[in-house]
Amino acid sequence: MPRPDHALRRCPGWLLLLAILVAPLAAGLDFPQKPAARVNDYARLFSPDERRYLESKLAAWDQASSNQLLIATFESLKGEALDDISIRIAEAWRPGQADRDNGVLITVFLQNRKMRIEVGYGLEGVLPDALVNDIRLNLVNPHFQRGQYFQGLNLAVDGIVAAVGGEYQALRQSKRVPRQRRGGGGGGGLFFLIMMIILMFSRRGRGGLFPALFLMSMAGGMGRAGGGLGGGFRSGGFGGFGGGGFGGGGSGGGW
Amino acid sequence: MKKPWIILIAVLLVLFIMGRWFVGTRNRLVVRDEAVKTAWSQVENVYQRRADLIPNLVETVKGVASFERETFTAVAEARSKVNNINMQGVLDDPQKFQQFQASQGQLSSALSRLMVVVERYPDLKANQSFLNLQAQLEGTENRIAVERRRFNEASQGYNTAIRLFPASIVAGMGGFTARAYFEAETGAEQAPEVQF
Repeated sequence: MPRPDHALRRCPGWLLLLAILVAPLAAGLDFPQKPAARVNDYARLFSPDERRYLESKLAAWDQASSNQLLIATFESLKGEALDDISIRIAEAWRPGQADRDNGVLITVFLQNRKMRIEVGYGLEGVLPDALVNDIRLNLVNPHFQRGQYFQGLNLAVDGIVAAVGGEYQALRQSKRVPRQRRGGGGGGGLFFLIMMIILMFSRRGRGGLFPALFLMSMAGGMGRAGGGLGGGFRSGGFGGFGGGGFGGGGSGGGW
Repeated sequence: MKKPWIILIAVLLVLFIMGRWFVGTRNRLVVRDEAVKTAWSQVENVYQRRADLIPNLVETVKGVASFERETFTAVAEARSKVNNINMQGVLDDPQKFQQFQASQGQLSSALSRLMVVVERYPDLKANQSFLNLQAQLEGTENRIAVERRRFNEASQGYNTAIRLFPASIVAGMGGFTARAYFEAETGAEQAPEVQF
């Protein structure tokens, strides 16, 4: 009797474990949590020269203005919705400066013939949806329809750079240094150290060390629990990327 | 001689640790609650942005497609309903929240009916100011989807935090109550079908 019961109780656990393991494989598009470069050509739309050309153009724009534009091309949406996956990639990669939100992300999904230009909060003023829509329909789509992906994206980049104009200036070098995050609650630690010493000395030779250590570790845990939230939320990315916020501005659609 | 002193210190120590934990937990819940409120104000912003867009949109469409009276009335009615919602305490009152979601959903479907109707007018599709408005509306709908998702994430994170033991004790004492969140709207995702 206890055996089948036991087996029954284990079964859902196994299923759950299996579901957890399989779910990420089955559901949707995988994208890296951090981009390796500005031009992430997973669908291999560009020749090496074209990729390098775009890469250096985007790097130069970043240098000159601190605006960060990233490109990501994928084979297919793998069942995802265009708007949803694009904003999720933008949230993960966070192009743009943290205090300026001046990032742009262009996503291309080859098989679905869909692309989207995602505009960060800080550039929504100079890149309103209607303008981005124009760029997409008039500069990108004619080329994409003929399979000229590099030409289309190059024009899109030029159009975006021209539209943004002098919205932001280059950063001073010192601003690029990532700020160090300091854990709070230094005073509590000192207090407990003193307490521990008092406890140890007052209970001379009666095994006072262990209770004291126990209290110490507990106190340490409490202190950390209070200060943990929010840390690492805007963790920096590759080469100074990371930090820009997005709110779903931009334009997307088919070609 | 020394024993009372040690007990006093031990009691003080326990009290101190508990107090520290209590304050830390409470602050953590406050931070999460504030995150919910921030996310909510973003939701309100993007819905307001949509409401602000409608008069221009309707004017532009009216100029070309003046026959579609019913569609205009539906949009106008849904919009005035949305504008008349009392936003005070929406987050605390599930019923009010549902009302808010329902009337915004009505406006969504009235708007998407309008956008389907205009497909019948080639003049509009060549009209640059209409195309701009259409792009703005699409962008705004997308922003609404984004901010709704973020609000839901914040709200669900907060709701979980106040229910998990032992933080639930602090939440109960501190008067932290669960926040509402958006449910997927039935039929809102599909474009309405139009009979010709």
